[in-house]
Amino acid sequence: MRKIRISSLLYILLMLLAICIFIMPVALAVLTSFKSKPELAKSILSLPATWNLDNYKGAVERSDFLNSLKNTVAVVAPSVVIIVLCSSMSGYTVARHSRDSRALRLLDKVYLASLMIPFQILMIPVYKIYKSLHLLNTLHGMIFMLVGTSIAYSSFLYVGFVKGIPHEIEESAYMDGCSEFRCFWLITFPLLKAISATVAALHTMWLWNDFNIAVILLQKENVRTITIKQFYFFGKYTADYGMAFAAAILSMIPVVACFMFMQKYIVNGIVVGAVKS
Amino acid sequence: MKIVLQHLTKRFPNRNKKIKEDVIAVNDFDLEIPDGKLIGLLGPSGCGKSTVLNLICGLEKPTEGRIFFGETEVTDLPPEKRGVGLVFQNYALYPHLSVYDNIKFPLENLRGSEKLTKEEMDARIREVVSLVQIDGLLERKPNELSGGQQQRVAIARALVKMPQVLLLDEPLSNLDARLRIQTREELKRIQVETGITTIFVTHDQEEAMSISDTIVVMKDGVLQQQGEPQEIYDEPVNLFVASFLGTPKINVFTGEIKNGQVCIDHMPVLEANGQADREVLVAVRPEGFVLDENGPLSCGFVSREVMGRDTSIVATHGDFQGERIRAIIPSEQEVSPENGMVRFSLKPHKVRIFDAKTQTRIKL
Amino acid sequence: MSKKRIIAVSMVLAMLLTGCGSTAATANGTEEAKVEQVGQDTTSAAEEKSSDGEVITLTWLNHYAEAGKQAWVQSVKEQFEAKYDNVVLNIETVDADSHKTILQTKLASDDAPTIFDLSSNADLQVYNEAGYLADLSDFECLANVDAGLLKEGQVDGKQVGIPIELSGYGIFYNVDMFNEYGLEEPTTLSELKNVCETLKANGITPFATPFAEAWAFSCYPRVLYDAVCWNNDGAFWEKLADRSLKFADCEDFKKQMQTVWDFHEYWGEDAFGTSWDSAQQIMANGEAAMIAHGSWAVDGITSYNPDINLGVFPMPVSEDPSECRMIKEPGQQLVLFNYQDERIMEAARNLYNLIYSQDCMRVYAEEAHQMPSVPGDYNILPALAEIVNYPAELSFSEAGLKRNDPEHEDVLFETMMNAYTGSTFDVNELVDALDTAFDNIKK
Repeated sequence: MRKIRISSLLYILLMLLAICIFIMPVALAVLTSFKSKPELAKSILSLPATWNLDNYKGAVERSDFLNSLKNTVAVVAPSVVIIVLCSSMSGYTVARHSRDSRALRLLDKVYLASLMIPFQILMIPVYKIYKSLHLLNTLHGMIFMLVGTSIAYSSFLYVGFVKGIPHEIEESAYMDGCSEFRCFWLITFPLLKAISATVAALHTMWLWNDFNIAVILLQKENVRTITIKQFYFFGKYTADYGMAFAAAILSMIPVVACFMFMQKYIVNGIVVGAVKS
Repeated sequence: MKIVLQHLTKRFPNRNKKIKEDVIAVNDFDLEIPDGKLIGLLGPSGCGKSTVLNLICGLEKPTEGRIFFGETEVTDLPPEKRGVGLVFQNYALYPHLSVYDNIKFPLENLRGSEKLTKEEMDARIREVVSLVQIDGLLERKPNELSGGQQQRVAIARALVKMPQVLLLDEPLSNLDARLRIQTREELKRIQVETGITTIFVTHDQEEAMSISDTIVVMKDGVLQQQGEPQEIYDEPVNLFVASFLGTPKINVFTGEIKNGQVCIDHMPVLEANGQADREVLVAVRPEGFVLDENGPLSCGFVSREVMGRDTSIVATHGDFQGERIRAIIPSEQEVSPENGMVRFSLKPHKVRIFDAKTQTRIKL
Repeated sequence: MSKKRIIAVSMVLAMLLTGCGSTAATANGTEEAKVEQVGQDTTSAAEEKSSDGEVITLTWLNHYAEAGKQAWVQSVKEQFEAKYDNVVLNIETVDADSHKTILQTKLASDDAPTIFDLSSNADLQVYNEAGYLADLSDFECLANVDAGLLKEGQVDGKQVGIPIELSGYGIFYNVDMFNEYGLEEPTTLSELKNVCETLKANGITPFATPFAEAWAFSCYPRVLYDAVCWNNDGAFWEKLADRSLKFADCEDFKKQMQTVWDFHEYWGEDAFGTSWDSAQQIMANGEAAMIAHGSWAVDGITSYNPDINLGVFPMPVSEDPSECRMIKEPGQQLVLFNYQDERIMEAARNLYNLIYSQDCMRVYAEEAHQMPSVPGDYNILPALAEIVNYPAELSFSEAGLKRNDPEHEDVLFETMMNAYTGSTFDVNELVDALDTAFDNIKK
């Protein structure tokens, strides 16, 4: 009995240590965001003398925070929705019909291959095409690009997941007089909840943090997203860490809130995904 | 609704791409199913019985041959136009919908003149729900149901469209033994109450025998025999049917017909008047053995198993095809092996003789 | 000489290798996009200007994230648009790390910015060869700019870039601290040694040493070898690169390298683990007294402690005070894309004249804390003023001299850092390693 207690105590201690390690960077970021530069020079770990909001004020002003937040949301939200809708359909099609279609088998390979192309290679052609289509510095142009660069991977994720759903469920729906399209939306798509939640969560995170694409496509102040505003706090030789962290924390809040809200659905999705057969 | 299958053949491309030859799942299948009966489609796994089911419901298209429902040809009709209800082996319930919505789903897909109002749908659902007796479960999700309940829901869903034909793919195989017996009676009851022509696929001969009006035995995509359960058990047309039906399995000995007598190990066991001499297989139902000190069949005694009502004797014989002979005798009979041997005589009406080469029945 | 520049130059080279320099097409293709009818351009401020003429849109691609520099760019925009009719100056600010990538993408996509900055003469040569740069030789504003610095912007006798500012390299120190311990700016190595001893005795780290970053480390030996070797021989780096001169034969160089080591006991704790940011903080809160660095250190350290009083002196190189040199390096240069359109060139000329005027440069000096290339009576940080006004005979201006190229510079810093991280140091081993490394590059 005693032995168990000691080992479980040890376990708790280890967990606490792990928690500390994980919380450390976030805590430091929060602390730093309240410190003035001279305070930062004195000590990184100490508590700020006063919890002053100057950094937050400065960060909001210098990065035009509300506008860039609006831009980020306006770009990320539709992109994620489109990604989930389109890639679930394409993943489904590849998973269910590639057996009969050489083209779809090829598409599956194309998806895989396109994962290997870094965006840097596409950059100049994309810029040229966007320029001639007048899509530069537009939010919808940005959405196209984000969707285009994400859909291969997300479709790839869906393919594997769709294969795990018993085909009989769909056959049963066809027997019941359901068209394939209707069957997909009414039957299959709800069963893909778990993977959809995963895809949505991953892409919300990735697109929210996207820098490479935004920095090329969005060069006008009024369309810039949060990530590209961050550099305002990093000069060539200087860095305003207090403000940078303040801005980072501000830009973190919406996405963290979104995750907390969605967590319930993600967990639910996974439970429902475990179909009892 | 009478169902007629004419020269039905289904070939699949071989999955192993190196082999060009197609896999023949169903081969020149002719069958006529009378209206309003419960038909058991019986055969070992991989014999093509599920393919026959899929062909009937339209999920697969036949390579050759035609299918009629009544007088109408349905060969090229899509599944939803055939008026067929199908219950899948794993029930294929929609996991994200409640029981009620699962059953409602087929009704929601009706279009045009068939379209139902909400009230009509509800009435129809209530009707099937009370038929399959799942009244209290309507709000639950499929994963909150037991296997038996899930199956009732699946049947209700198949019936709600009022199909002319109900197809069940291995309806009992996912249930435990006790539930299986209960459910098969339930199936029979539902079929009788609705009077729908019902075909169910199974590999379990006992299941097929117990509830079917007619059994259809299949092997390697070919129809072997069609008939009432007792008829098939008593008068199998070939060795396969004989050994596929009945538990314990029928006991098969190599033997011969000589001078109008069936002999095993040169000992005459049965009269065979008027039959030409030839090599034969002698198949004896377990209940066809009679302990007899002077019997012609001398077997090595292995063990005796008490089964309550009966006693099973396990024995060996040099000409026996297989491991062990199983004979069933009334439990009050004593078994007294001499020098490790027991002797049997055979009940003639429990013995079937098959040609050694063609394995077809030789009627005595 | 920063790491950014090293990256920048290597990217330009990479760009040229991938063949993005179809000059004529680029120049002609872009011009159409730049002159737009009023009303067509819905995104710019063009519409607000009610004029029946054509609006000339100029684009200034920059990477000025610092608040002071941004204020300067904005003031240029406002003054320019107020002073001239039918002109719009678009400011496109990107971060310093992506700046070169974006510039190259734009150049390759016929979407060149009108003006942008390049950081060295070597860059100018590369871009000029690709045909991107306009000749500024007859621009009136040249007269305003420090003549010495202009050399840096010349390629093949043409003025293709004009430096905006000047950077200085020397020892920046905490004046109040020196006063407190009665210390004077040292002019010889032994005086410097005494200063260090006094500071050390009082528990103060003599030198803040941001040696975790190669570019920051490089400032330290540089204040020695540039002041002596390069100052004495303008072709010093060129000769070393083509191997007509060997480090081993260069007694001056060896002596300076030894001096670097001689002061290692006055370096901060964990010198090679200290970042540029922490070095600034150590200076700001008085833990260290001196730092061998570039002039941006003044603004950086002051931002951490607005009350600090910083001074600067050239690094002593020997026992002879007259051998000290304050190192002055021309900073970024504004270049003009080579448009074939008279109206754009005219507008750009006006913009240049505006930027290189004392009025505009005052903002640059006073808000961005820079040393403008246009001399004038500005109210700049004291330490910076000291650099600007440092006697010419004790200064070494690097303008127009051939620098070490990035490839050699990388190896140089890397080899030096390896040599100084150990617990012992042998100058002959260092120069041999350097010679081997430079030989390898030549092969």
